[in-house]
Amino acid sequence: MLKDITLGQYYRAESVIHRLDPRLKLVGSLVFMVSLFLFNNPICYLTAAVFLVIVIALSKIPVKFMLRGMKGIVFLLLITVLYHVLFTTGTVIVEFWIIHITYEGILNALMMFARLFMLIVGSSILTLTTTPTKLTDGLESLFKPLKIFRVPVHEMAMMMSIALRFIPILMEETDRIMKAQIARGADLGSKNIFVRVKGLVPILVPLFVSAFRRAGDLALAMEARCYNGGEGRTKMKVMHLRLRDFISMYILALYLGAIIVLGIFFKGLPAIVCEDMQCGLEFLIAFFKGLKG
Amino acid sequence: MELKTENLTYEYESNSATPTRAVDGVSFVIPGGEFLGIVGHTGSGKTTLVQLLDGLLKPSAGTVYLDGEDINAKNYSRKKMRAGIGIVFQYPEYQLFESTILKDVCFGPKNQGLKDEEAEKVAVEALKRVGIKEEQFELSPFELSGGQRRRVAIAGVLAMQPKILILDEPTAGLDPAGREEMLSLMDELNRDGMTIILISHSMEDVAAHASRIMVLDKGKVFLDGAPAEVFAHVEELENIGLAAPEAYYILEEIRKAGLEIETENTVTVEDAVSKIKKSLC
Repeated sequence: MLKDITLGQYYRAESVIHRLDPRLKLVGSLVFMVSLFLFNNPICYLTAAVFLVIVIALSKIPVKFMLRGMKGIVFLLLITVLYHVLFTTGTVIVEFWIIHITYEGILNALMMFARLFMLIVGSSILTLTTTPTKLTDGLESLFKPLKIFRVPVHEMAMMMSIALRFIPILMEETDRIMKAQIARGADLGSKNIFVRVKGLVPILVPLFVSAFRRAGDLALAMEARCYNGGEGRTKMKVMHLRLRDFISMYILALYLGAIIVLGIFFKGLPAIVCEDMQCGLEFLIAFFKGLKG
Repeated sequence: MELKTENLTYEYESNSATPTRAVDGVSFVIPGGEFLGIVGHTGSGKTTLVQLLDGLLKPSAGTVYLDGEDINAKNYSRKKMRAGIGIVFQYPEYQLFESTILKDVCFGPKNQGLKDEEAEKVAVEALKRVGIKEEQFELSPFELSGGQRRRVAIAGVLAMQPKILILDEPTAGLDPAGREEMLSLMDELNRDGMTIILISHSMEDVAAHASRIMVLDKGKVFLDGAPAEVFAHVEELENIGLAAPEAYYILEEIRKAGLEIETENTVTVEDAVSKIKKSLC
């Protein structure tokens, strides 16, 4: 029952994107996200979309699999679109009661939709193509400079990898406890919200107890093997940047440069698009009126 | 109460390209009052089968009948079924959650709709049955030892007064004395008319207590019959990674060493002792 969550999951496949250095993928995702927020311009979104489609194609992740994870955010996207359609000021198309739909509003809504959608798809590519271990290794390596400011980078990375490692175990445990309590007649499917929340107690208490027990066991096991933090600790897999990483870096820089140039060069585009939309609509109305007459 | 399955099948991940059949076309009848042992190697489908019997999983194909009624039928009352079948999962001590032992055991009966006093009455009875003393009733479950906690968890199921009790590896992780206690509790319950279904990978446990043994392999029923019948197929059992009870092997060794002794139908240590005595006289 808990198996349908694909956001943040790893998808096993053989592709260039999978093989890239995790540090590069982390930086790349960040660059992509930043690029989405630099300009609010249709041509920038178009460039980003082309870039994203190419990366998805290279990563060999089935589009279906990727979209399955998006179900949870459909609601968020809808609210954003509605908000922008209803509350943007500008040239009015339709007006009744307190609702004004404007050209600017429609354009804004479309752009916001594109931004959010690509933001989530872009970041999901990172987790889909990178195993949790590689991801934490990459994070640890990227944040190493912070050690100067006494930030416990290694410890945080270790905590993160342990947390990720325990997600499937705790899921399984939850499933087992749920089944045991259902077998004892617990009512988990009740429509009454209070009954439902109360029904969680017999599941959460044993779950927490077992999580603490496991944490204690793990701490003992780590100490028994002389774990004492990151000082002087070597890695089993040392990360090296390869040719493909340097090529990707170059492509990434090119992409960011293109976005900036296009954003500055076509600064007036949103206004033009609105005007075009207005012209187009007026033309259509006139055309249909002509047909009727 | 009679439990019956027909062509029961369960596939994991039925939407992926290669589904794994955990339970594959299993049909059997368990008449009321039987002590059935289900044995199988890890991954043979024991636990999945149990969950199908209690309606916790929906079969991919096939049916489970409780007293002739399909438990997965739309209008079938789950409450009625849960009152009939009690299930004790592996390591049940980890399902305790209440502040006191007594309250935890009351959880099941209360869910069945009993009033507080009635629930307490059946809970006290169940706790006494598993050997928990009255002065411990108000303790927190976490103050008990692992073995005692397990008995409390079993009491929590017994308090629901099931006609059929399914136990998944109830002796796992217990010391020999705890094992013996647990198994004799099952014998006692069975004597009182409760159907017991004991899942185990320990041949010894099952051999000494069950009146019928079902061996599972790769989701299918491999052997089904009285203990002596099942253990007559020693070679087949060894082929699927199981073994006959140790007593049998000891007698085989004695026979190979030159003593004339009958080794067939050796299930328990008592069997072995009486056979050795017989051949020595």
